[in-house]
Amino acid sequence: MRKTFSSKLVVGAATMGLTAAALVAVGGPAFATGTAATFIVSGGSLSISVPASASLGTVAAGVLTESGALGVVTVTDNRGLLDNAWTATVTTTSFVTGTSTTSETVPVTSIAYTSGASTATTGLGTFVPTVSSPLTIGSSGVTGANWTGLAGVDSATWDPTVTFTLLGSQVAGTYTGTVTHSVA
Amino acid sequence: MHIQHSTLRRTSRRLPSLGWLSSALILALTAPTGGGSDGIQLVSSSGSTIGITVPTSASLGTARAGASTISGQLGTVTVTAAGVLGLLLPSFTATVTSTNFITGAASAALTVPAADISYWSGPVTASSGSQTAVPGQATASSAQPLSSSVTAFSSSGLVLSISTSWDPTIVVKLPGAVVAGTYAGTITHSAA
Repeated sequence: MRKTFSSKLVVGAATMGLTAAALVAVGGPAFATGTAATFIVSGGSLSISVPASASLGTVAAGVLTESGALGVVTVTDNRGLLDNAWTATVTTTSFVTGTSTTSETVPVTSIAYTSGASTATTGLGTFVPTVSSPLTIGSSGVTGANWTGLAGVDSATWDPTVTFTLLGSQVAGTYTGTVTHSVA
Repeated sequence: MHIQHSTLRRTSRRLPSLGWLSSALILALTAPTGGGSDGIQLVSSSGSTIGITVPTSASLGTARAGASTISGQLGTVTVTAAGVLGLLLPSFTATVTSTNFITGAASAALTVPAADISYWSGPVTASSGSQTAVPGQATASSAQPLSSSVTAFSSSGLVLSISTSWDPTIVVKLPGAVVAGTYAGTITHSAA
């Protein structure tokens, strides 16, 4: 009787052990847990760099038009926008020599701007040169160039030309003025 | 002699039954409680009882628009594994996956895909119990993209219960046209 009792105990324990293992294994796929992670991309600034000074050329008195290259203008756009469009606006003072009489002045309505094609670009988007160039700058300024945007950072470089329409009575001399670029 | 022989036989028959009972009792007493982030212990297909804890959240860093990568550590991941006395030693393999990371309205331009998220485990940072721990990616140069599941860490214990911790690094490759914003995703660790 003892023998019978002890062998039943062996079978009972073995069955329990197997059943317990089977239940837990079926109930447990690989244990998974998640971490909510974030990172930040911070937008930078939109800026423009222009030459500090430029010599726009020399013409003989009596010649009625004169053009010169202003030098390298670069827009750097680190805003990282979804639509990175921007517009470069150009204004100018009149160019004067001597005592700024009429014949010593080239008025803003006689000064025109041509961006020309871009010489280098980075990022997604399209550089759009000056429309209807040479474009008279006048007193309210003009869009010198603009960027039709796509996503992300970008930059564009161009070398604009400034064109002066001169009077027959234009006096000889060195004419100076300031051409101002801004970007937004 | 005849009597002694039968006595010996009876004794040897009893021993196996006692052995089964005693091992079942020890399993109940030593199985770890808690350890998983919601306190559940599961038995893996290898037979080990596995627990895993990971950080609830992680800030991976900041970079300016136009940067090419962001890299940051996730925080400590800990896996515990327990074997069965007399039957098996503990072991585990931990794997990791990632979702895409998105900002705003999650258009293509506002998504960094999981394929651009890479993982390197680094070495063991803390452990208990004698074990052979194998990092998934010991150094930055062996980082793997999380476009599909990647082995994060594995270990085989030489004692009944082990714990293994590491602090993985996540490397985000930013697309050239990345848009500024806060990008969010989920890094999921599994262990079995």
